[in-house]
Amino acid sequence: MTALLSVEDLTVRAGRSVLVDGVSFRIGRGERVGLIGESGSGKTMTALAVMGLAPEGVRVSGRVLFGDTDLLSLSEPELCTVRGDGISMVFQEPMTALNPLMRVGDQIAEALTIHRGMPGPEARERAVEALERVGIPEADRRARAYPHELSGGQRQRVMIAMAIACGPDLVIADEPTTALDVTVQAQVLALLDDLVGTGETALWLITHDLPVVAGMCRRVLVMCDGRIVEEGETSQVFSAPTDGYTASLVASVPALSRSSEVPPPKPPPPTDEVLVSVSEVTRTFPLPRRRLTEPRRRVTAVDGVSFTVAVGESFGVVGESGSGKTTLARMIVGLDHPDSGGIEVAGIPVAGRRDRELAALRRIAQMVFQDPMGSLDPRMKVGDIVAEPLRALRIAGDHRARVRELLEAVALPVDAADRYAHEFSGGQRQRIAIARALAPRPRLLVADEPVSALDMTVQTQVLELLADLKERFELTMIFISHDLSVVYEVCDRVAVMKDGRIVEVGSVADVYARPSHPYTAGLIGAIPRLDGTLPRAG
Amino acid sequence: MLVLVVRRLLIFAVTLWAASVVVFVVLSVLPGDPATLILGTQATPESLAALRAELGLDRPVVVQYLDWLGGVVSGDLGTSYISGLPIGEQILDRLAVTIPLAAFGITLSILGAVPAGIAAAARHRRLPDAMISTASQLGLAVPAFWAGLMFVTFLAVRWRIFPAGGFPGWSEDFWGSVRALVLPAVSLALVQGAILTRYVRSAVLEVLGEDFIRTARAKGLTRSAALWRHGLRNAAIPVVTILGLQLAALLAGTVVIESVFVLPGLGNLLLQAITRRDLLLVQSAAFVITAVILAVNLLVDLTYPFIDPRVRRT
Amino acid sequence: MTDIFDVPELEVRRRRWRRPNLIVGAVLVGLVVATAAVSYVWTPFDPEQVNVADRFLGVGEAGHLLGTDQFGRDIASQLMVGARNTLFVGVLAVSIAIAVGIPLGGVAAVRRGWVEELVMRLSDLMFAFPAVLLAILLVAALGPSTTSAMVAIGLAYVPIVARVTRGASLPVLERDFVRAARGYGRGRVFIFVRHVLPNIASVLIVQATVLFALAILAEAALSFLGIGTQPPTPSWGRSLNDAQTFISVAPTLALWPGLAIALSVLGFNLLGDGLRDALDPRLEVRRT
Repeated sequence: MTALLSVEDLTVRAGRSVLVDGVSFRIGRGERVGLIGESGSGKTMTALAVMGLAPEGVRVSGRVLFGDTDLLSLSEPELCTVRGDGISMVFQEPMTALNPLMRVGDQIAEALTIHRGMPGPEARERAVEALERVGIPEADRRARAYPHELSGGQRQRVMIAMAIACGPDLVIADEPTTALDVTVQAQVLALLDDLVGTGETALWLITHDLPVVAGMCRRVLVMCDGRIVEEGETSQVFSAPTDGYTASLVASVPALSRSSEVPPPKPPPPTDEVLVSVSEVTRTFPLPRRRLTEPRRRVTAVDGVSFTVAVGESFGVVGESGSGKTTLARMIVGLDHPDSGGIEVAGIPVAGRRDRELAALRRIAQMVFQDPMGSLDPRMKVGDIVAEPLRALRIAGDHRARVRELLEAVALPVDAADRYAHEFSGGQRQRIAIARALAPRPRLLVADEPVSALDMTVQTQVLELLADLKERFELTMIFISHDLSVVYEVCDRVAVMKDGRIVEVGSVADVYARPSHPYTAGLIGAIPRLDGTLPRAG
Repeated sequence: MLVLVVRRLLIFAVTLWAASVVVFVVLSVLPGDPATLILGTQATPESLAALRAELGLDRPVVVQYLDWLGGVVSGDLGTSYISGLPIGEQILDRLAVTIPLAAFGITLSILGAVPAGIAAAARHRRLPDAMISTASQLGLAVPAFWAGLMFVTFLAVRWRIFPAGGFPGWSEDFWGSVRALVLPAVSLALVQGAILTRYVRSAVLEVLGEDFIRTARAKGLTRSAALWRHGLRNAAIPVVTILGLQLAALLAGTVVIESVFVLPGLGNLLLQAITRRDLLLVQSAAFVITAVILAVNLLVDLTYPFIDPRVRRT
Repeated sequence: MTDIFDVPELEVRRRRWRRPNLIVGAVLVGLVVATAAVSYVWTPFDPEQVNVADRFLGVGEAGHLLGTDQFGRDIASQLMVGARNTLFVGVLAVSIAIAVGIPLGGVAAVRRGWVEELVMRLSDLMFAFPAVLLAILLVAALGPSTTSAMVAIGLAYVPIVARVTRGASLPVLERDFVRAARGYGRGRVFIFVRHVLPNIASVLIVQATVLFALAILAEAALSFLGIGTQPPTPSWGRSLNDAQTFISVAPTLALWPGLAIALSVLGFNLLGDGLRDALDPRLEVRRT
């Protein structure tokens, strides 16, 4: 039986570097195969090379057999008949992957016009049907919408509709849910599962997220540095990996994402002395006016939020995008001010104070940001970056010695001080950011999605570092994340935020084992697990 | 969307008013005294004072300004006290040359630049691109008036294909007038076209790198189909922006070109007015030019909602 | 999460500075600067020496490299001295544009809100006054001179610099390292000078070279119209004006100054282009 897709010794070169190195694998008819890899592994490039969409200037060699035809030997017009019809692709970022100036229904209809020669009106009708099929309500009104008028999840559904419009034999999905909230991810994965169905269409799912593959694919390939390092049945590979890299990937999956069985409770926090007190904090932002006469509308980012954090505690704030958690974090360290309500850190009032009055706060509360590329000034040397808080806050003492001390604490070589940020990897830059935050010896560390932009294996290292530093320097931590499994690993207590409000707060063990709010329950239920249980949608 | 239009109109009105203030203020700094200019330095102080009173020059500055502004709004720009001719009429006559010249010039440059820019971007890093890019670099290094001079030398003086200068007038000789505008328009279009080509090229290149082009190709569109159906409309947005800015430069360019080709346009009028120290004329003519620039920019601004649906929601 | 492309570091670095644009541009600009510098010490003939007997000589005749003009003055020498004026106006006009434009754009970007709106509207207003028009107004008020030309050109370019500064500053101000700096108490001005400016410097440098090219063209136009540099200071633009009068007698008189202008402008434009590519931050190698 011929495989549907047979990739033989695929190699992709750019300049002198090899991005994809002799990759071979097969996908059978109706089969579901996952491709796991971290950033830089070459997984996306492999998919693009198969489709003939590799960027210009790149050299592709090998064979890609689709049925009996070698795709690499086809001319561009011939490939165009295969793309979208025989093999179609769903991309990661639905906002940029859709033409912002074209109505959504027309973009779907286009696939039908090209491949089936359907006349316009008929194609548009079928496009509406496709939208219904992917679960978009009021499909025929929505078909006339533009991409920016839809939500992220809806846009991804549109992309999927476009991909399956012509009934392809193989759908390639490249990180299809990475940019989505976890509940939306669950829905979209369920949709894919349903559409790909029972053997008609094959699915090639590319992602860095192991539990997602566990729920969707029977077979999995693991890619590292352009090579396939392991291949086999998903349950087998995940429970007993033979390759070292695969093993480290599996090990870096947080506990909560491993199985649906509720893990044992964690010990309670050390003291009752309150370090941070937030009461009835509200923050709104103005929206552009629709009519000149209308009063200015505002969106409420944070709505009457109250909680306390005890000294030495690790307090997590969990929420999806738009929940207000980042705004809240900024207000706690004085980078933003609430419209009403109070915030106190170590007895120092924070809310509503002018910048100049916050010097005392700045010595005791510091923030670590999400984006390791964006949080360090590319024009400054690492040593200067780490020393800046000392200079700005006019802290006495030998700055250079302190910088050395800090770099050591975050396990970076001391000569790093003379180099520039871009010479380091993502994980290392995050360490630099942490070193900088620790420079003024703060008591409170607010970490805003500190590991979300990092690869899984690196995530574990940085989380371990944070835990270690917390012990060593007796820090109190507020940990903001959209990723519940990460918060579960790191925090003692957690607050769940939705639409600017806290819907639930309590010890991590309690909240996860016995969520009292349906939203929390929904979030927990939506986490894909490594043991293969598919997330419950919605 | 109505809000958008109203808002833009308001901004236009305010900017227009601010421009009038700027023109008036700059010219009030004028050291010379118009009365002396007219009567000569031998005139008696009494006759000078009398003339000043007659011309309204003894009134407070703000009143002079409001008076002039009122004239602008109502269409009565008064009479030049140097030439004695009605200003409004003169300006209108001149506009009848400058506006068609500018329109001709911008049309030629768009007709040349858009295909060239698209072709260069579509064949990026290959010979057509290199040639077009080089040509556009050369095109914008050349001063438009020098190009005009060269045209006059070769095409008008040596081989009498086009007139070397002058303008018969629309009602007198329509086609002769058109011919008179050809060389000036081409000189303008050469430079503007070169600039526009570069912008079109870079806008198209940028769009070609966007994700949705990749999606279009993944759907099965050929490269050129993806470019035409998805790319161009998106590339139009930055190009339209530039067009607005270029129009101001083009109008400024007409001032110089009119000098080369001896065309009786608004720019030419301005220059003559300066030499004759005809303050009122300079004031009104300069203001009319800025008004035209602002009006054109307004029109350009108003096209955005039609091209880009994201702008329609304010 | 990552760039699809990952070209090795060394190759990229070397290629950056070897681009033809940059080299040709630098050479041309260097030529103009050198010519102007040399003209202080030596020119083939005295540029102001009138020699009516030898007027309208052609290329190479009687030792005059490019011939003579209507007064018998050596064209090559005139052009050399004219280069000084060109560079002078360019440097000063661009300096004015930068000195006013960068703070304006910076204030707009940092303060946002109504201040930003006001600054942007003001710059929109300025856009309605192209260099030539502004120069005409200034000349009408103050009389023609190199200074009026320079100030007019400089002011006319302020809105461009302000817009570019603001546009480039906004994304930088959104980056987390700016938030971090605020987090340990740095003030807005400090952040702009110490964190934003170094990061937008390459954009501003490229813009400055482009503006220099535009300034040369504008000055030439103004001198051509007679409202820029006045006699006896030699100016390329004014030589073109003179040439226009004698176009039937000596058509090539217009060739040389025009060529000089075109080559200088080309040089600055190519330099700007080359710098833009060479300083492109996307080519800075990053590993994730």
